[in-house]
Amino acid sequence: MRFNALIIATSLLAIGGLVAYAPVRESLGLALDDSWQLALIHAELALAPLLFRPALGDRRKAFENLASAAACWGAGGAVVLLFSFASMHDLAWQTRPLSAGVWLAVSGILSLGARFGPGWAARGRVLLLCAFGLPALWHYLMLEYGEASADSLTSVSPSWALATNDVSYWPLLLAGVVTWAAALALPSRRSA
Amino acid sequence: MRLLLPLLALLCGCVSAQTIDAERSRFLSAPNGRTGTYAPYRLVLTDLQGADSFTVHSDAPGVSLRREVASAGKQELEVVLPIMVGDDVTVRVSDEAGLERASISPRMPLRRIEPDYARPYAAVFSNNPVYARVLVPNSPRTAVCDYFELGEFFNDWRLFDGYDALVIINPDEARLPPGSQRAIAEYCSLGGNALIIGSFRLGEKDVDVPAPADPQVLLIRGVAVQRFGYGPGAIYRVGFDDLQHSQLAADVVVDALRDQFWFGAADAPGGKPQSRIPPQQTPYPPPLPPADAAPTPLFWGLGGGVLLLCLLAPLVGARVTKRTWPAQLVVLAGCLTVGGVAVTQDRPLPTIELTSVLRGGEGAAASQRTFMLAEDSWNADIEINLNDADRRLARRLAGRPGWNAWAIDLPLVALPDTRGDSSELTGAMVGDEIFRDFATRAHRGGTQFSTSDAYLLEWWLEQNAFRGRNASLTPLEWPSAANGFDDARVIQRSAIRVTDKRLPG
Repeated sequence: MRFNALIIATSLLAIGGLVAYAPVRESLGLALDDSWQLALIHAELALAPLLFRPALGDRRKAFENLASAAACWGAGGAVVLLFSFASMHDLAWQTRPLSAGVWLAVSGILSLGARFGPGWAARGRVLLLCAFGLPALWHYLMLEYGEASADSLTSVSPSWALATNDVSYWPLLLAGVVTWAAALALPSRRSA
Repeated sequence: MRLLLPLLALLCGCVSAQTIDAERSRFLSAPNGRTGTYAPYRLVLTDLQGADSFTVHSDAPGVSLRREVASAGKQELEVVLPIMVGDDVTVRVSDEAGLERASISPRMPLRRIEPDYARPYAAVFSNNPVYARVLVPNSPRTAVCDYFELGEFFNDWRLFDGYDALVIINPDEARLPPGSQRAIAEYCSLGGNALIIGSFRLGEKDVDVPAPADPQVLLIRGVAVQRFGYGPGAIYRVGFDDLQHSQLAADVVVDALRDQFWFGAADAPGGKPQSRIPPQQTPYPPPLPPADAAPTPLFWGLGGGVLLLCLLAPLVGARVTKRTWPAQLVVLAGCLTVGGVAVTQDRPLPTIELTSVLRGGEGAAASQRTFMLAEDSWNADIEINLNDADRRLARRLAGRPGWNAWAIDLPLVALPDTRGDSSELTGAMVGDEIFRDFATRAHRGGTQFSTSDAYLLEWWLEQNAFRGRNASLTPLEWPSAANGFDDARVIQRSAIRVTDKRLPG
């Protein structure tokens, strides 16, 4: 998909503008300061599994997906860094490795799915959304009903890890490297 | 090899230069010391091989004091400087290039002196140490005393920081070292009490300090004692011969110390006496909302550039080649460049909120304690050069999460304009109201104080509205321009003046 980066940059700029709109900002409890940029970083992490569209097809397409994911990471990072004018801290710089890990894992899983067809790419997307979004909910349910903690799952969910300042990169790197190796190692189908 | 040995010897010489003699370095007040205040510390430096000057640092949590010292070719030198009595304190010595040469953690005084109306903590200066111990004894019923030679009188009030009173016993009219007059004036302007037995000649003339108030003559146990009010503090003078002829000389001295310490009353006031120990509770109003950041033209330009790049690079790339990855790499490189430029945008400055209590009294002398709350992205430490004419002293306080806080004491400040009439605190009542009701009304904007002043007012009343404490409270215009904070957004929250009132004995 040629315009993945454009979609990411446009979406992030639109979210940045939306958060700056006073009624939205006040309802979210944010201000035009560091919290504005932090909201944008969370949006960047969430947009990766939602908006990245891998090209379906052979190994060459998988390689193009890798380049496209890198461009998306760059475009998202540029927009987040643009909002540094509102921030006193270097949070945008500090979260670039996390963002890179997310993009590596997301593009790897989606590209591996895309090697098998659009259905598998969609299943990969659902898997990513569950892995990134559900651990915090699961933790809450376990606390509420099981009186047990599931906070070890922060390493699976980047947004939760960022919110709790407990970031670990190894699950993202492991998922990214394994899926990319598989996506690039699978032989291309030959037409009959 | 011939060159190497002298080089090694030279290197060893450099490394061993300027060492601290930890055995002989000590607090001059030892074994006494007041936790949370600065006490005089004698630092002994040895092996000053060839160093013309160096810098001595007194580091406490959040505050770093430094003093440049000229060694003038000496091999050994003693430096007296204020050091915080507390944890995590270090003393460092650095050379002219700023390289650290030595550091130690000073041994703290073993006996910690709490502020107590019954026992003022006094520094006693005398040429006759035996007579000083008889006249001002260190006893549980009178005072806690540290004894010094008259010749080592400190010329910087910051060395007197922990003391409630100074006693100068000088029957021979010996000349005090230069700087003593300013040190006494600054110390008294901060609420200190100086008792002079005999007389003294100052080591300097034409010192620009406010004159004390007109003298009062008090008769203490049959001995005439002159009292000169000096802002919130006072200077007492008693003739040496008058004291010698009295049968109760030691009691006269203690009563003279208590006269100021007890605000002229015959009994000790309730609560704890005022001292420069950092307060446990701090007078901070809720923080103001942060200033909204506004995007600059650079932001709009770079944002448009990112969108154009992400749109045009794939379109142009498709005309040049069938492969998409070169265009994506161009987008990546372009976005990295934009990101690099984006971080050069002007950032919002960290916020510093200032709250100030001015202490006045008799005469024109006054002092200021400023409570400074700074966002933690601002400097973690306040640096003070002890050689500067501006003799401020800072100490760290407990702050809110994400903020650092300090109390900064500044002696001899000019009295600023007032914003309203004074309110009188008498017997825990302000006017006809209990002090808490008055504070509540101040929070609602029902007094002449602003609602920002109300937090400071309430804090001061909670700390001080005890039996025997009478004072006048006045809302102030901000006492001085907040300069020296070019790297922060300074907000002046509130300022009040407190004037202690004496009770008839």
